[in-house]
Amino acid sequence: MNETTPSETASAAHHEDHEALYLKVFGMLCVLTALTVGVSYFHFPKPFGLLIGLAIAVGKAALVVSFFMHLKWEKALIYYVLGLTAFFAVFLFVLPIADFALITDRNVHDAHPAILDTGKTAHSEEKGGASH
Amino acid sequence: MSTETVAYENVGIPDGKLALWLFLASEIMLFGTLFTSYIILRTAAPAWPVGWEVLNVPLATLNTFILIASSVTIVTAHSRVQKRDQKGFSAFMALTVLLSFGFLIVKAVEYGVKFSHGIFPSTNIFYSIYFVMTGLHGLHVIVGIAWNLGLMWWAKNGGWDDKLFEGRVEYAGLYWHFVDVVWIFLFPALYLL
Repeated sequence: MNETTPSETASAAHHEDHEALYLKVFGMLCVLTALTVGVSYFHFPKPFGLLIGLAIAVGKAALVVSFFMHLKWEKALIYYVLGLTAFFAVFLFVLPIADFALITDRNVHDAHPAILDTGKTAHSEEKGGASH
Repeated sequence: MSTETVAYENVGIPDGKLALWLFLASEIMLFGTLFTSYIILRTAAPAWPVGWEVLNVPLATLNTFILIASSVTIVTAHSRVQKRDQKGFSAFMALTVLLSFGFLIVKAVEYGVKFSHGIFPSTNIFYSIYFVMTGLHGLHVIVGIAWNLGLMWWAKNGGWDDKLFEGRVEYAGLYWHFVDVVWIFLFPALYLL
C-alpha cells in the first residue's frame, strides 16, 4: 500500500522543485517592502516620490506574478489574455482621467459637502487654486 | 489509486487555469475602476489628507509582510502537492489560512480604531475611497480563506487522490497571489504616497 508506484515517481519528477527559489523571492519582497516604507519617510517631492513608490510596487507585483503565479513558465495563451487585459485597462485609466483633465469650468462649490470636508484630518496638504 | 495530475485541456493549457486567468482579468478591471476613481477624486479634491499622518503605517506594513508570507506558504503548499507530500500540504495550507486571519485581525484593529474615533466611510471622500478599496480587498481575503479551507477539507475527504486536486490548489494560489498583488498597490497608494 505504501509503496511508491513508478507513476508517482514519474509524476513528481515532471515538476521542478522551486521551493528554494520561492524563499529567495520572499526575501526580495521583504527588502522591497522595507524600502518602500523607508523611502516614504524622506517625503520626496510629489512626482519623484510617486514615481519611486510606483516603481517599487510594480517591481514587487512583477516578482509575485512571475514566480508565485508561475507566469515565467506559462504558455503564450496566458500572455495573450493578460495582454488583452492590459490593453483595455489602459483605456479604463486613460479615458476617464483625460476626460477629467480636460474639464475647464470646474466648480467645486457645488460639490457635495462630504467631498470638501477634510476637517477630521488636521494635517492635509493644500492644493493650488486651479479649481477656484 | 490515480496519481495522474493532468486536468481537462482543450486549448493547450488546463481549462480551469484559463478560466481562472480570465476571472483575474475581470478582477483587474474591477480594481482598475477603483484606482481610476481614486486618482480622479484625489486630483479633484481641494484638499487631501496625507496617508501616513491619518492611517497606521506600521500596522499596514505588518499586514504587507503577512500577505507576502502567505503567498510563499500557499505556493509551497502547491509544491508539496506536486511532491505528493500530504502532511506538508496540510501544514503550509493551514499556515496560509492562519496568516490570512492574521491579516483580517490587523485590518479589524485598524477599522476599529477609526470607528471609535467616529471616522466612517461617510466622513469624507478620502475615507470613503479608503474603506471601499480596503473593504473590497478584505472581502477577497475572506473568499480566499473559504477557498483554502475548502481545499483542506477536500484533501482529507478524497480530494488528495483526485486528478484535479493539484490544479485546484494551483488556482486557489493564483487567486491568492492576485489578492496579494492588489495589496502591493493599495498599500503605497493609500498609506505612503
